[in-house]
Amino acid sequence: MIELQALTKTYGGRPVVDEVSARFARGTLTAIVGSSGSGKTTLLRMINRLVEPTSGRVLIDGQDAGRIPEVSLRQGIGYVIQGYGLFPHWTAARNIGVVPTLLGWPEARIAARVTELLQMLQLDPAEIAGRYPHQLSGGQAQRIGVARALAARPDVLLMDEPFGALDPLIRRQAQRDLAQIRRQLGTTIVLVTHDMNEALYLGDAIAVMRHGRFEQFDTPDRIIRAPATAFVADLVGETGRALRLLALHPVGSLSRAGEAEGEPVDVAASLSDALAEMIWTGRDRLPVTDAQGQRLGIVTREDILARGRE
Amino acid sequence: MSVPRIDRLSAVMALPLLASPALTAFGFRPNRIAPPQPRTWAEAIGWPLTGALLAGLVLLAVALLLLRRPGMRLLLLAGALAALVVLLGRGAVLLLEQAAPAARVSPGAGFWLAAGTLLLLLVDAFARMRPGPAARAALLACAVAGVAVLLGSGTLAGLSVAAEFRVRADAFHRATADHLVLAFGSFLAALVFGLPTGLAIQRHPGLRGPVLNLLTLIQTIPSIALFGILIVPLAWVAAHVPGAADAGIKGIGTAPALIALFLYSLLPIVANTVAGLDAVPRAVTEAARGMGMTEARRLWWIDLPLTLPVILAAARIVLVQNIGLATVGALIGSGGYGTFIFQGIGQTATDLILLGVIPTVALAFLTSSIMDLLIALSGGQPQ
Amino acid sequence: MTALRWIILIGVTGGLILFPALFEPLLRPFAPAGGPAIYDRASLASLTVSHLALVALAMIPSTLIALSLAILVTRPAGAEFLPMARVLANIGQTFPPVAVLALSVPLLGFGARPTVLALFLYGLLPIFENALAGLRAVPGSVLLSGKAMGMTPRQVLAQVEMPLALPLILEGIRISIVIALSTATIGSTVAARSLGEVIIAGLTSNNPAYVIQGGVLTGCIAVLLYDAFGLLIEIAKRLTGREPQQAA
Ligand SMILES: Nc1ncnc2c1ncn2[C@@H]1O[C@H](COP(=O)(O)OP(=O)(O)OP(=O)(O)O)[C@@H](O)[C@H]1O
Ligand SMILES: [Mg+2]
Repeated sequence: MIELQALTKTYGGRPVVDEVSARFARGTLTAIVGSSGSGKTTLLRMINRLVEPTSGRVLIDGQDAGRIPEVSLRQGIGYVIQGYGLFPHWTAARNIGVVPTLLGWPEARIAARVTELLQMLQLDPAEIAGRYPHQLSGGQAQRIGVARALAARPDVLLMDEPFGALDPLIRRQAQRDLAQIRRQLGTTIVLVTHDMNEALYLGDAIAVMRHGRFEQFDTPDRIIRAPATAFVADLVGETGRALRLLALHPVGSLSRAGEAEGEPVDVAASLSDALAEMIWTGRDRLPVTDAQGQRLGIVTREDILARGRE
Repeated sequence: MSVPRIDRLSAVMALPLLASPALTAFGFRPNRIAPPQPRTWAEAIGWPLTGALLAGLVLLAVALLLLRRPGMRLLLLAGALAALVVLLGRGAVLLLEQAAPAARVSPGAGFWLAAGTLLLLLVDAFARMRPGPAARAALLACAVAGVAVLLGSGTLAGLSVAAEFRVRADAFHRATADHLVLAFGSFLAALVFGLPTGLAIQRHPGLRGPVLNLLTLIQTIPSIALFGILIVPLAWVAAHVPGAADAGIKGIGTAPALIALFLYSLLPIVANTVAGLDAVPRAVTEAARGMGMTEARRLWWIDLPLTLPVILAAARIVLVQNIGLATVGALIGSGGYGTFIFQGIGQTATDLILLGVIPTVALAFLTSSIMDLLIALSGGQPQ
Repeated sequence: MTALRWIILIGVTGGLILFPALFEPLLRPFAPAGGPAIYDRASLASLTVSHLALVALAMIPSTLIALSLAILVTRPAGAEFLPMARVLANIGQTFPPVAVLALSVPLLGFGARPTVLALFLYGLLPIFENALAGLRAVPGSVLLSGKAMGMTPRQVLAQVEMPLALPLILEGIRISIVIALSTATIGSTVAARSLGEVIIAGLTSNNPAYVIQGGVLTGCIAVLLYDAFGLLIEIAKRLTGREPQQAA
């Protein structure tokens, strides 16, 4: 668990992060959203002490981060930097293996870990491991950045606009991959983004930041349903609010017994996807199946619409 | 099939090539310092060989106009150059056979023109092949081996510079040692001192302006002036600091020359180190810090490797500069090839001047080629 | 700071040239007992003038020719000569100025002529290289928009390329002049009249006072011209609309 206590950073007397207090629960993903210059990166960097707080403190699992030696603190926290920051003179494999090397892992173990990570991120080790960063596509470089941050199995992962430079299609894929990795690893993640949709899709909790403060720190559901300020409401957008809400919940949450015709919908798909399918195919109920194709029940249009009005 | 297009560069370069036989091929002097008398190819090697030479030049010019494949051009030109040099050596021997023992023969303007043109075309052909580091290393090795074979075989033993060398072999070896110590010693010292200085001023921006300004100022001072001015304090040190004189510190000689070259070397090394470190992307530095590298780690793993090409570029500049400037040291008694050059100027003995100039230029050229290779291997852009 | 630098430089240079006697007390301790402290075989003023004349005589044709060559090889018609020109420039760099000077003597005899030739030849290179870099650094988009607005190639050159390349060209001339000042000093070994004469006389007659006055004077002149060119470059940058940069 990460706890921020009245965390403050001032530059030349101007607070950039202003007395922020919050808790990020173990194993959750907290998305920090806000416009440019609102202090997101500064906040993130105070967690691994790339920026020293002017006042306040950061506790990691109850321990004051300010008292852990900088170097070992950082070796225990994965960091995916804005723009990746891959070391241009090292191969992808060596980039990924850098923290394990710093920690003194034996070579064989590092090599095994590198292969494992590449596979987990859907990259072919034989093809990618030996490449230099300039030989990688944007999407590949981004994944190497993530793999590098995960290499030493950190308990905490900090990500600063990890998908910022990707085109929309690759971006969607990368977000899906992250959601999946997260389920596998149980790492506590803090992710900075400009993009409210990304925050809503990935976050267990969302902090909306403005002028160095958290305007609202809440679940995605509450952020949409009850924006605390006009700024938050603006970020979420008035129109399409109901659809965004539906996008947060899986079909499974409304599944009930019954019979329906036609192409089934996956239990993990979102309610908004299910609704879109109904509109497109002109049906008012869809069969629900699990990942193995096992029939679980149905979901109905009335139920979905009712949920969207709640 | 397209009509073969004429190579424009070759069209221009063919002119000096074809005109060269009309100029004097050899300079013949009854003794070492007499003014040279012109000798043509025909007078030296006889008409049959001269005819072959002329025909060869014409064929070569035509071939160059039509042949565009750089690899073929390279081979052709290398062969032509070798043939020309062999003819030069042969001509010198033949001219000397008919003359008194004190007579000397040197290459004339016609030879220099032809050889220079061929060399340029050769280098151009090689550049057009866009060679990688391996090919460049191979060519360099071939060139060095070729020159070694040429010198070792005695093909050119008839030339006056060779005669001059035979008279002064001992002095030449001493000058070589002195020159290497001056040029490379001052460079190493500047590296040892300049790298930490560059690191320091890159991290303390307040120091940057003053230090770089001072080094630029030093670099601006003419070489003789700096060499000369250093004599005064060093003479004082030699006279007043116990043990200094025994350590070889004197007002004139190696010490002021080494120090002057050291001072001239500092600016490129420090400035390039700073520029190279500045060019390390911020994201890379941040990532390194973010994953818990210590300062020292970051320096050795990230900063220095990424800065290496720029530092090597500085090393190239400094070494070429030092090899050239070390000649000036001869004026204050530091030895080196400059000794021959200035003696030669004093005696108006061209051979002696060449005995100093040729190894200086060869050393500078070899060093810069090797440095270019290293720069390419380190991932930087060669000049 | 810069003002102080200018005052010192101009003061020392002007003083040494116009009123060398003023420096007599300073130089006296370095002169051999009873020997002269101020160079007396020629006036420092006349040596300075002929030193600068050597440099000017060489640098003017050097600049003109180097610039023309750089322009030529960056035109479409001269493009085939570009690789060769770069190779030549690269090889030329490995020729030390002293070598060029020494090799001019057998061709031209002693005196000012070999010195001017050496200065001329050695001055070509930095100017050519910098002009080439400056011309090639003009972005293609800029050239294209010049063309698109209906400029002739000549107008593009005169109104777009040259102004943009000007700071770098001046930088090249500055480098050449500093080298030329230094090589002109060595020119006195081949009997060209220059300030090097004073230093060499000091070296051969064991009179450090000569070495110091000659060295300080040539050093000051070199730095003065270097700084003056620095000002010119700043002005050129401002005129072509670029931020004045920190000189490095
Ligand atoms: N080292 C520094 N010195 C002075 N000001 C700084 C420094 N670092 C950041 N700032 C200022 O602090 C403010 C917040 O910066 P920060 O990088 O945290 O913003 P951000 O929310 O990450 O913005 P973006 O979305 O553009 O990345 C900005 O106004 C920035 O100019
Ligand atoms: Mg940021």
